[in-house]
Amino acid sequence: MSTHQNDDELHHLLGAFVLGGLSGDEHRDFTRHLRHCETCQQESAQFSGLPSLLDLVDAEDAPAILTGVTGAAEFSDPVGPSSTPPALLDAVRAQRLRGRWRLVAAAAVLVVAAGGVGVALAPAISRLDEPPTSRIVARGPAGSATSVDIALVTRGWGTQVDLSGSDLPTSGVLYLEVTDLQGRSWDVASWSGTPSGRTTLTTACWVKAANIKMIQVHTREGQTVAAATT
Amino acid sequence: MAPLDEDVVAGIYREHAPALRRFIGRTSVDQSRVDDVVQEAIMRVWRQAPEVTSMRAYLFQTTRNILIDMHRAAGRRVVEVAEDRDDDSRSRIDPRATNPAVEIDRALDQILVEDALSRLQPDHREVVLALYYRRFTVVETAAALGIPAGTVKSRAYYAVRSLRAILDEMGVTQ
Repeated sequence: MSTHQNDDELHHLLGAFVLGGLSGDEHRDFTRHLRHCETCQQESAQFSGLPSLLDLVDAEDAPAILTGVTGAAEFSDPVGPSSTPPALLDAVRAQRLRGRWRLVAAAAVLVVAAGGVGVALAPAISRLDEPPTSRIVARGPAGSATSVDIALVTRGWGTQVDLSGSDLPTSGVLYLEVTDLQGRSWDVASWSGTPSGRTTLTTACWVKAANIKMIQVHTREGQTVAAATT
Repeated sequence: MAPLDEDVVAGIYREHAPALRRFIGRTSVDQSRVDDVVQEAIMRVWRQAPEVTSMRAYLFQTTRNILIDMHRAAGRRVVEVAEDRDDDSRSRIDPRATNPAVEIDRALDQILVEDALSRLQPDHREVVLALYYRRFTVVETAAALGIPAGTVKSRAYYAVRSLRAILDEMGVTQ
């Protein structure tokens, strides 16, 4: 081993040993060092796969990649859309709404289940006074604070719908749409947005509560403001 | 407030779509479907919302799986056609059609190595370029870069360590 190089210096030769470029003397010195240095042996084993990986990059392409100011992200990037494709964002919105409705539906089931326990434990008289009611919360798209509490009250003639919403659009006409299990839809109420964004109303529809699958608040243009499945 | 889903997806697209497109472009997949594959990969990753240290690595792996599925589907069609003929024609099927992973994994490793090289510090990158790709000696590299030979050696050492760490993070274990 050359006397002018201590172990630290020899240790650092591992980089040039892996990449190539050591002189004959240095290569011999490092090979000797490697025989007794456990640290270098371990690191050398970790780096042993690098040359074959580096070989995957063509030496002629390498300068363009390695000297690129902005790095490989700009290197021979095939022409493609620079902004997010609308189809991708549409898919995200559709997926998100479905996911949200599933969540709301699960919450509604919990509310109904809790109500069921309450009915079972309550005195019989309260059951006579209070017609079966299920409550759901319709929410707006992610990022919107819109929240609409809806109570579906079973009546002999159909369903009474009590609605109490907050953070609704403050202008324009809003509609409450009921969709039944067969996928048929009806607007069962319409009203104008209020400056406070709050609205409380009661309306009615002939569809039995058990047959209501989805409730939506939408604008005149058909944009969904809040939605929930039962 | 949490960022909107659309913003999250747009951010992923902006940061990673060019590299994914480059990867897909190097496989034999129908080039008219490159953007479809990119979008499918981003949608899958967004839906799964994985807790991962490297979103890029996860996107690359997801893209790889989509490509392999596509090749397998195409490969099955080739086999179905071949089975209508005699045994002789079946034996002539391109082996890549039945084992697409080889070609795809090679393209993926290539992209990941390029990506890793681009993420090295510039002074580490230029030492790798000179020593490995230009086949310069340490002394020649020192002269070309105007730095002492000792600096070339230590930069080569830290460049190799960084490269290994980046590749490990990207799931390249070779």
